[in-house]
Amino acid sequence: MKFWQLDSVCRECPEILESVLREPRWSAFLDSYRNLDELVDSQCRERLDQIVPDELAVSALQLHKGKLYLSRGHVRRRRLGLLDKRISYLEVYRRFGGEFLEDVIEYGLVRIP
Amino acid sequence: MNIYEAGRAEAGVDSIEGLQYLIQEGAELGVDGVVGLGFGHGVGAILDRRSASTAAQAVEESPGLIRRTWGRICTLFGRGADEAADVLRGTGELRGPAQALGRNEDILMDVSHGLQSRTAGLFDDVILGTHGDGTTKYLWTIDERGINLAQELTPWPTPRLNIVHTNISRRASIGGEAWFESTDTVILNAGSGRFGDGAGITEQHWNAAIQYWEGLGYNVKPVPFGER
Repeated sequence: MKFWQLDSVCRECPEILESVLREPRWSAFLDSYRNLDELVDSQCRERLDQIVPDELAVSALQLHKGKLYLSRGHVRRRRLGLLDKRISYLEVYRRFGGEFLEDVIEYGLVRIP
Repeated sequence: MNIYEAGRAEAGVDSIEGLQYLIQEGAELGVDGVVGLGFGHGVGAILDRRSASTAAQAVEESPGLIRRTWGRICTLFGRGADEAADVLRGTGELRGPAQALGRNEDILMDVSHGLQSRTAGLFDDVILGTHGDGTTKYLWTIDERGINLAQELTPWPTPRLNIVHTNISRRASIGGEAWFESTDTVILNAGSGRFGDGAGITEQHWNAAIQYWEGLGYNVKPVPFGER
């Protein structure tokens, strides 16, 4: 998962990501996080596209309270029907990966491969 | 949408807050010129007749006149809102994105960046593609300008390097992805976390959007509601 993707999936709860990044071992990512606007404006892809360690992604996503849904072969942001199965951000990340998770947020739903 | 009633409920007939509400809503609907005309005319008349030096002061000092001005604004604005609703053609009300925006995801693109808007007729010079192909994908929205279309891979200084739906519309009734199989055949879905499936659209709005596209002259191959 790229750094900008992790930030994107935590957009509704940025305090989670910042709290995790305050751990000394993630100091380089904390610096990127605090300068994110400048990195985006200058399109510093080296840092925006930096792959975050799995441990960092898991630490942030396990604190994420958001819920997604599984139904009709898709993971989706909005419940489609009463029989939709609820699934956590962390579970989607573990099962399908970070890019998939970010796509669910961006496009509202992604077909399960 | 009945902005007149919304404005009354929001702030009451005679208050400047109500006027500001209408002007703000009008701007978001793209009828700010119409509202501004009515408001400017009324306040200008007040300023001519009284000693007030500012619009706010004039409003406070002339409740009777502003009430009549308010009626004029509501008439004009109501017409503008009806016209906006007509352009949306049953695809739902204009609303803001269903998620927080990232850096530069709120900067609107325009014709110079390749944006096209239509209420009738086909889009120009589309790139042909196949369903699911990221390199030939278009993003679309529906707002007061009609159906808006732009290539997703249009470079933009966002975290993902290219445009997102909120670079096309600040507010929209619906949005999604599109691929053109030919110049008059399009594959559509409502794949947008901001204005489409991720924003809780209804099947009725989805069907209205399909009809809108068909009305432009397209043979539409819609992805089933709730799928991508």
